[in-house]
Amino acid sequence: MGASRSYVRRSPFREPSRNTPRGELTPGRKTYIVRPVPPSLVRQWHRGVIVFALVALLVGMGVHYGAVEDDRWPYPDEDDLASQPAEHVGDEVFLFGTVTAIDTDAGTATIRVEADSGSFSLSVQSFDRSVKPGGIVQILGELTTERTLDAERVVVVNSSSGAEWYKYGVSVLGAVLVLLAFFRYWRIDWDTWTFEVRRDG
Amino acid sequence: MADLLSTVLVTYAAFTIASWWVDGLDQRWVVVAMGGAAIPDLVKIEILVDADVIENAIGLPFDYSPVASVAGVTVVAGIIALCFGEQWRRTAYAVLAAAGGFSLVIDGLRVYADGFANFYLYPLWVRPPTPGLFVSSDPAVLVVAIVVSGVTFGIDRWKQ
Repeated sequence: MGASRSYVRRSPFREPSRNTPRGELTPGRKTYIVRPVPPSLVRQWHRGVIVFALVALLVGMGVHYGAVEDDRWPYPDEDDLASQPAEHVGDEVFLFGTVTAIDTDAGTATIRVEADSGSFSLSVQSFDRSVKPGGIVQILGELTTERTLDAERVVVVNSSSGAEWYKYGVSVLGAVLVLLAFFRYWRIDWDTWTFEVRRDG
Repeated sequence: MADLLSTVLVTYAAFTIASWWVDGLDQRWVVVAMGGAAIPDLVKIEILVDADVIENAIGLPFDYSPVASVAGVTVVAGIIALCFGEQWRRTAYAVLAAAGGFSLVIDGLRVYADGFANFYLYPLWVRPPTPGLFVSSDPAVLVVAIVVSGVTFGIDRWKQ
């Protein structure tokens, strides 16, 4: 007998189940029909609880990170620059932005930076890279006025919006490759809801 | 991060090479490692459900970044390992966590304008220095990954 048991209270309105030991039933007496729950089912239930706890832990970490990161990041964050740029003039900033306009001869560009409250534009001086509008750049530099940045270093992340699509397209291929490779050696056992080794793999 | 295909191919190469010396690390675990290397990329769920949506739903600040960190890989590897049959779980966890960590290290090599990577060592608030080897959309990364994994595949076949 397993530790977990289910019992069925005998009822005059219910047909006796096939498992009922008919001969031992006495009218008017409470009769327990004990059937062991398969241990695998108990373990399934435990498994669900642990997964739920781990997902909760993951969400908890997300909340903790969201609450603390701004204090740990050494540069003023986008939201501060969006709402109170005057307080940060003269500060060193590190931003990710989308290029909206570029003048290679003059070495200037305009970038759009996303913040929680919406996006804002910055003019960048000493912009020494070649990027198409729509490309994404990292900029390290000094905020010289509320909306002007003197770049110390510019890194091109995506040279055009096409580069972004390239990255996602190739990543989807990577995900497909993982699934194909995995299910070549593993299969889903639908009885226990687990991955098992393919015997023919 | 580097594109997922490059990450997966480089992980295939690394774990196949390791399998030449480590007993019990065979092809079926190499494919599990390839899956484990994709764990930090789960951070891209952000494209489908923005962090703001979750912040509004739970009324607390929220950020997906821990998924692509040491802490996140440790937990997500546990969730995936529990999907394996009982006899495989311990090995699955070890392989998934190792591959996820490997993926974080690869990702930590990419360029940051100030020379320091993001907080991928969370729960430690440390930004490790990065050599700045590549940017995430660089096709050269994929070329290198294809060559490395192709050569590894060839040697692996030849050894058998």
